[in-house]
Amino acid sequence: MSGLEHLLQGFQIALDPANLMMCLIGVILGTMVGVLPGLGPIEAMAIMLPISIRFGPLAGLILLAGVWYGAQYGGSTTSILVNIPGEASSVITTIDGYQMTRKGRAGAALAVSAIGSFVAGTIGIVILQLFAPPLAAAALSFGPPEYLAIMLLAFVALSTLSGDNPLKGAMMIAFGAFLSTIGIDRIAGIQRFTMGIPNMMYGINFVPVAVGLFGIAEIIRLALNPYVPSPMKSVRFRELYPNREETRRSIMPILRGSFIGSLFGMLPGTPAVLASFTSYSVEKSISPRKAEFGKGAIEGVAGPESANNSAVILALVPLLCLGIPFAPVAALLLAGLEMHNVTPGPLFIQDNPDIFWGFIAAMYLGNFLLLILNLPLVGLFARVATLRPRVLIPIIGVLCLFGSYMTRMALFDVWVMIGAGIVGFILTRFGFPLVPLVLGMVLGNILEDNLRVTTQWLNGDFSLLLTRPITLVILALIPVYVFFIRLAGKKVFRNGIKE
Amino acid sequence: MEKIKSISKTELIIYGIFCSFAAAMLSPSLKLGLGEKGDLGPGLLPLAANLCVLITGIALAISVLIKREKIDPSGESEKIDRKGWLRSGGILLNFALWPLLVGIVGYILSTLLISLGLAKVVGYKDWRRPIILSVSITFCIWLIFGVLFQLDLPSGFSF
Repeated sequence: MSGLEHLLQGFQIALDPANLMMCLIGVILGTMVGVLPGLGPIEAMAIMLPISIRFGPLAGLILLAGVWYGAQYGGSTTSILVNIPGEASSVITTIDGYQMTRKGRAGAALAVSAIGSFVAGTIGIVILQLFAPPLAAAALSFGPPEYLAIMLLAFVALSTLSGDNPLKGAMMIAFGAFLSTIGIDRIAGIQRFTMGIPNMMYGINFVPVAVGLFGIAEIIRLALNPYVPSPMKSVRFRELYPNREETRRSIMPILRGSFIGSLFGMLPGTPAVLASFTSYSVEKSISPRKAEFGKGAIEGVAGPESANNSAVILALVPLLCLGIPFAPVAALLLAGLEMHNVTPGPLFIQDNPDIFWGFIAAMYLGNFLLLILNLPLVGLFARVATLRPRVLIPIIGVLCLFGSYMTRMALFDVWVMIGAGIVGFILTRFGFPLVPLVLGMVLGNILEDNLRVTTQWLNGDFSLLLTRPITLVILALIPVYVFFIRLAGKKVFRNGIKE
Repeated sequence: MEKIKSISKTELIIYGIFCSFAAAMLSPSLKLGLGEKGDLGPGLLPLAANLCVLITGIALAISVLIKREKIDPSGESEKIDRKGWLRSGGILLNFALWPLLVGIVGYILSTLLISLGLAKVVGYKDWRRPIILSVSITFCIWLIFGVLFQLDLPSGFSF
């Protein structure tokens, strides 16, 4: 069966009313979350994860992914209208987006942002669709040593690239890896650190920990410092048209942004943030109207908004092809799939073509839904941003309680969630990144399995790794990658912050 | 300067907790067995992870002691008043009450009480709006999880 036939079959699956409904709910919810300050896609996906489990692997994946890329769309709305980024990757959009609002061009900025996001998202999906199957096929030739090397790259990169202090990231990922070992050892069959608690025999469930770390910790933070919603400028539908000059000036930044986002998307860390900052720097450096940047240049909106959307889509490549999440939200998707006993990796596309192609088709649909929903409903989404924390906290709080309970129908998980929430809040206040902790929990078991298989495979003689060129290249890449990305990231962020 | 010093101390306490925990887990990890050549034991990853926590924790504590004046917790320099802490405490208390209540009074009453408690704690002065909010939340959760997903919601004497 050809790729096109697979895709058509995928559309048949994605157009199933239940899947379409999940897609719609996901993108609407994601957009709403994107406009809310404080709540981001990680928090929303953590809260939605237990709910998504109820719908099966494909519908659950569609729902979670919809929240993810919907939040990228939504994040730009408040950046443009009130100078408050809904998302970290939309921070750079505030610079020129808000200036356009002040000049009375808010509608044009929102329209260019939505169209750019749609184009970039579509380009990202096309690249994912073309790139993932051959990459997965190539990954089939990887042996345990190659996987171990990729795991190590992910571990080192994700711990050192999260937050300001790499040591804190390393500490968190190690602690997460330790938590992943709690429960019955899958190979030896003995209990590890269960303290005689029956609920601990199956390990600490990832879902209540994620809900606590992101959902409950955010609620505590909101309660400590409740924000006052900013008055939102109303934008009428007929104002949502960029003029001819703005349209002409947006085309190339959108294409360049899509390309930059596609490149950054497959790198470990926070690809959407880095892609949007890089895109802004590139647009500013090559623009003949440099002086306009910071005063409402449409290129400063079109480029970054496109870059962050394509980065989000391409961040799925390592997860779907290698089974290794390179981005925090991909870890949540992995956790969601594993709960259905679906393991992403080189055999994922071959063994689960319905899920893969249905998911690809659903992303095309979701991207289109976002475009047709976002522009007419921009006023409604903007009003979501005016919801006060006193309305949000009870809703999110009860959802967190139910989400944690529903995963295994165990009250023990609710206690785990509350504990994780308190720990998460304390850690965040002292600058500890929580994402590596969650990734450590997800990747810990995979790392241990790969380490054991590799050791058996090499019969304990690790010098044999030197005879594996791909393994050697990946291992050599670790320090080089971390050094250059940290350096480049700092430079790009510094340039953005200067604005 | 006083505030900065207290923050440094709290951060040191956090590192201390992590390091103590990791150190306490070293011996149980070793007891699980590290395995032999070609066959790793179940204690290896926990041991490696705890060693990493211990080493990074000590390194971070030393860095705090060396440059304590630069500490700023996660860039959050905002002041938190007493009311803020009370609100957070009230929220956590509500969360802790739910698993205690739900087995006794059932889903409907416990969720109604908890959402009402949360709404009051976070700042509603009157009773009308919190009651409307909590009834709406409880009804929606019942509709979604109980009716749509057909889940067995926890029951007690009230449900």
